Amino acid sequence: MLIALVSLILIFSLVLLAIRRDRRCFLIALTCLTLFSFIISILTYIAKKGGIGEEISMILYGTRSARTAFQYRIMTLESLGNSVNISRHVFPLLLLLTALDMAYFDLALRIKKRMYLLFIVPAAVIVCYIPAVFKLITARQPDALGWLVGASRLYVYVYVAASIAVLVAEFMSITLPFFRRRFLSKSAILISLAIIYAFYAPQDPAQIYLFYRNDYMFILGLWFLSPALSPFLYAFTLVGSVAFGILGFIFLLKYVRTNFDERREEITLRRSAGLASKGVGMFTHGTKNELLALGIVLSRVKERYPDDADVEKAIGTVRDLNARIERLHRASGSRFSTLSPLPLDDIIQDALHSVHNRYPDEEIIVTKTADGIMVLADRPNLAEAVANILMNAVEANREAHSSQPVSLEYGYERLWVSVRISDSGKGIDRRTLRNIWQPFWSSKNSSQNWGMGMYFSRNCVKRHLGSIRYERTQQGGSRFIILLPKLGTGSKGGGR
Amino acid sequence: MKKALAVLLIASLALASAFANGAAESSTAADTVRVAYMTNYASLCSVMAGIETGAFADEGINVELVEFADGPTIIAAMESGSIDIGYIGHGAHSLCINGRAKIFAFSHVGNGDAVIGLRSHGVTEDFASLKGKNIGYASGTSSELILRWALEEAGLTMDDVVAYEMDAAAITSAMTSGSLDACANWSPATFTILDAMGDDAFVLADNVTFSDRSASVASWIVMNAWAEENHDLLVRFTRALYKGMDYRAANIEETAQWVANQLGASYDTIYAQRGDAEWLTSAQLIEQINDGTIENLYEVQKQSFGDSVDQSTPVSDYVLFDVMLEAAQ
Repeated sequence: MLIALVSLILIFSLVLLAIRRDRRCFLIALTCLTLFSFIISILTYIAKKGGIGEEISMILYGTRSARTAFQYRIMTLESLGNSVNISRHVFPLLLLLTALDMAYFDLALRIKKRMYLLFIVPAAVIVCYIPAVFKLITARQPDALGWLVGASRLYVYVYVAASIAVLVAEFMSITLPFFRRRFLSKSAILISLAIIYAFYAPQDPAQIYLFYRNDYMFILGLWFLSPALSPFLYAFTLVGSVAFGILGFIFLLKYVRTNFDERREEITLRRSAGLASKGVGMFTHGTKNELLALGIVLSRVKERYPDDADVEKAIGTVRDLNARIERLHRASGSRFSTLSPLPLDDIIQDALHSVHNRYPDEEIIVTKTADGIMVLADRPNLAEAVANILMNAVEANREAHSSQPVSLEYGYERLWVSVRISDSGKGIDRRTLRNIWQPFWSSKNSSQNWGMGMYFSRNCVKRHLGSIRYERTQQGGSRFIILLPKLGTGSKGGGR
Repeated sequence: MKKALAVLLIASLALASAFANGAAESSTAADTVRVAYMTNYASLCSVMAGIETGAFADEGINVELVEFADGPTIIAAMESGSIDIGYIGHGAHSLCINGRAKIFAFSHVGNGDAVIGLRSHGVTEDFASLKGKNIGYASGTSSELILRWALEEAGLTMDDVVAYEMDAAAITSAMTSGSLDACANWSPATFTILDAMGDDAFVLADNVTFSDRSASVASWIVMNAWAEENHDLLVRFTRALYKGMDYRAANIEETAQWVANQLGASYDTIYAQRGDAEWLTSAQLIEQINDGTIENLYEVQKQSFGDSVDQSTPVSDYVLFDVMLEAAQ
């Protein structure tokens, strides 16, 4: 059963790697592969040594024939011991590297810059535990045996503990619930793997190839029959390893599914956008012509009534509409954006200005959690994207007759700059949520809504190398989170 | 997801509790003895006969059998406290002589160990043909001893061959797949190899070949502290073992079937192992203890280990003859 679970975890980690070929998935797959190799070696050792009852045998191997297959594997004790040596000592390193890859707090970032230092101890331990080297060292210096066994255990425990500490520290540093949930599911994979590993980690590799030769090693005894493992602890260990195996499998499945869903959603949207691009082009072209004609008419009207304020206001509205249509046209047609470092404060102010133009009486509560935030941005486009979401939030509040104002909060979040826009409306149902990013789609029956706002915002944020997330607030309203890449590194971001 | 986690957690705790309750029940049950055995007729015949005939139950003992690969591993498990009583072959007796465990019952003098060669790989009846050959053996066991003796016969050492340190099961797989030229192993693995390889495989040497050098004694052992704390239980266990030995002597076929059932092996395979040793009855054993034959066997065995054991250790230091005699009363 345990072997089946570890195999499934390995298979899904490889599926994950096939779906998403990035460094993190590669590290997770490699960690799973190492754990798989370690468990296979340990199960081979237990099968060859014996000493376990039928119930435990079933938990570990499933069937009697599977156990016999392990028992009759053709391996010398040296090759089996060396296999345990490599997998046992590589796993903690990979676990720590993966944990660090997922972490963005200051200390983790500093450690990442000197990552090569983390390889020194495991490399030394692996070399010392190569059977020929181990025998040579302990033959010349018998006292070294105790030191090597101790050093190996210390390394294993310290690296595993450090990995878990990194994950906990990173989790504590995350403030966005969405990020927390995602991080929790990803880190649970690692913690599950670490716990399965920890159950079997006490097995010293040298004991396998020196079991019959050295009294000192003999004194170590068989770890899986160790007196430290009371019947309850032994039962708990086995049940725990199976439970965490299932847990690791579930989290990996969830992670794979999330990645798969995201890719599928992206592909669907791209297809929709591809189909709609012609429609968007025609729409913008037609609208521009209409606005142009309207502009000419208004110019002539202005010549006749030069001091009329309403005419002036109409000209201004047409000019704004023209500019918006032009941005929409560029956003749907062009593959390029010109980004430059800008203060986020300015972009937020532009967006607020647009919203106040349309809804002058609406109050928006603005909170920022860091000063001097800089982003790479196309100022008018990004301001428009933020304004679109803000206006949707205002409309959601109005529709729900909410007295609570819309809130806008921005600051740093891990590798990102986040802009969170929350309303106290009725929230968005699943069907609507599936469609809001589609072009020409609107849930509002209004002549003022073209159904292009969220489509434009998403495209625009994507062009800024960011993403938009949706989540429900605790009160049942909506919260859109715009995530933009942090300019520079470090938790303080921008200025560095 | 939270629900799934909660269900998983509860299920884990319930399962662990169930296991723990089971363990607690078994550990608190009166006179339950965990007995380690190896997967052959010699190891199991007397204890299975004792269990099946109700001899152990009559003595108020519940026997839990646990399978092991070899004697040194059984002793390691006994040191860890997970096994109370164990069966060991010839090779592991060196650990008893060196004070790791006490022998409380004599089992038999065996002829189950053998050096097997493959003709197609250039191994002949001449021990010298082993030179430079790939040979698998299980170190620390009777397998290593018989291989060393075979090599010594031709003036060779372990350095003159390519020796692969393996477990008994891996040796069997490696021999039957043709990965090795020769091997040293014990019954029933030796039978498996000979059957699988047909005329190509042959016995180069067995325990009888070296009967002038050593007695291949197999015994039942306990840890020193366990023997002191459980003297009465040990005597009762030995008494039940004697009953099993006596029943076995008169009912070989039935005993072989019980052993086959326990091992999940075929009857024929197990029955073929009946010739692996000279099986004594309890009366014959007591007679041989009293006339010094058994002590002499252990003495010869000790000498065969050479410098690897403390030769000054008297046999009576690690063989509990008093338990054997008390159980017969």
